[in-house]
Amino acid sequence: MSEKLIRWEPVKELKGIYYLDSTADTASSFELVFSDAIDENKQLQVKFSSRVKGFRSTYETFRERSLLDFYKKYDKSVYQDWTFFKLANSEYLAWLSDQSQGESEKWNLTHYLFTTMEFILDIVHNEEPVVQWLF
Amino acid sequence: MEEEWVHWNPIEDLEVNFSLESILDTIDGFEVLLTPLHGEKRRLKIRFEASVASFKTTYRPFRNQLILELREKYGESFCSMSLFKVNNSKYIQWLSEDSYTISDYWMLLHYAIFTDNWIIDIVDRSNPIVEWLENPAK
Repeated sequence: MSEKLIRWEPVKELKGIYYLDSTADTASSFELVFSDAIDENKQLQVKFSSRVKGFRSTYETFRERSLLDFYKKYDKSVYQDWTFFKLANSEYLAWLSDQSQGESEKWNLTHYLFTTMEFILDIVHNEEPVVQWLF
Repeated sequence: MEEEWVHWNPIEDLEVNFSLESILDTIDGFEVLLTPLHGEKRRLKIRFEASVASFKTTYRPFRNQLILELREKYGESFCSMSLFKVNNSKYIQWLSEDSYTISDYWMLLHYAIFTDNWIIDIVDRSNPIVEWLENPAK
């Protein structure tokens, strides 16, 4: 099965490409804070109530090929001016399945893909995060 | 070229196993804090002065294949240490391919940290500052 990029809109008034302000991975939670590219006081928190099973953060420049693949494959209405996605049948999940000898497939994992201004974030977990505005 | 894993010894007294206390990536830098599993109150801090080029944290059971391969190649006790460097890294190779080789100009290094439940891979061009924090967590 091929990868499928799905626009994710967990809260209202999301728009555009966000900056990643911080990542905090602790024993009790996994938390990302983003800020609006135009109004930096407008911050968004994405918080999981436990450590996520897989997280990958990469300079946007180093993911150029993956991003171009998305641009070729999908209509602009899916990816343009948007930061938050889910990725079905993803290569990352397939890699985890391979690396875990199938163990990861028992966890009902979801792959979240956040394409921020500077970093591309891949998150894999078996629970939904709480997403809220911080202003 | 085949990937080569070596033990990384940036500081003394590393013959301990750790749990992952925290990973913080902020405007002030990128920092991993490790707590020894047994007894000791001090913690190990691994700090890069800025956000790293790429890093990933993975639930350890999801990296079983890697651990099996390392044990097979380097011996059973190899993974009893916690800090590693990876030469001819597949992770760096993936970044090279995904960046149309732009990342090759960065002279990237791959560090790996094994804790009881998590495996952390860090790729950057800079060397981190590694130090023991003698004070217990507040």
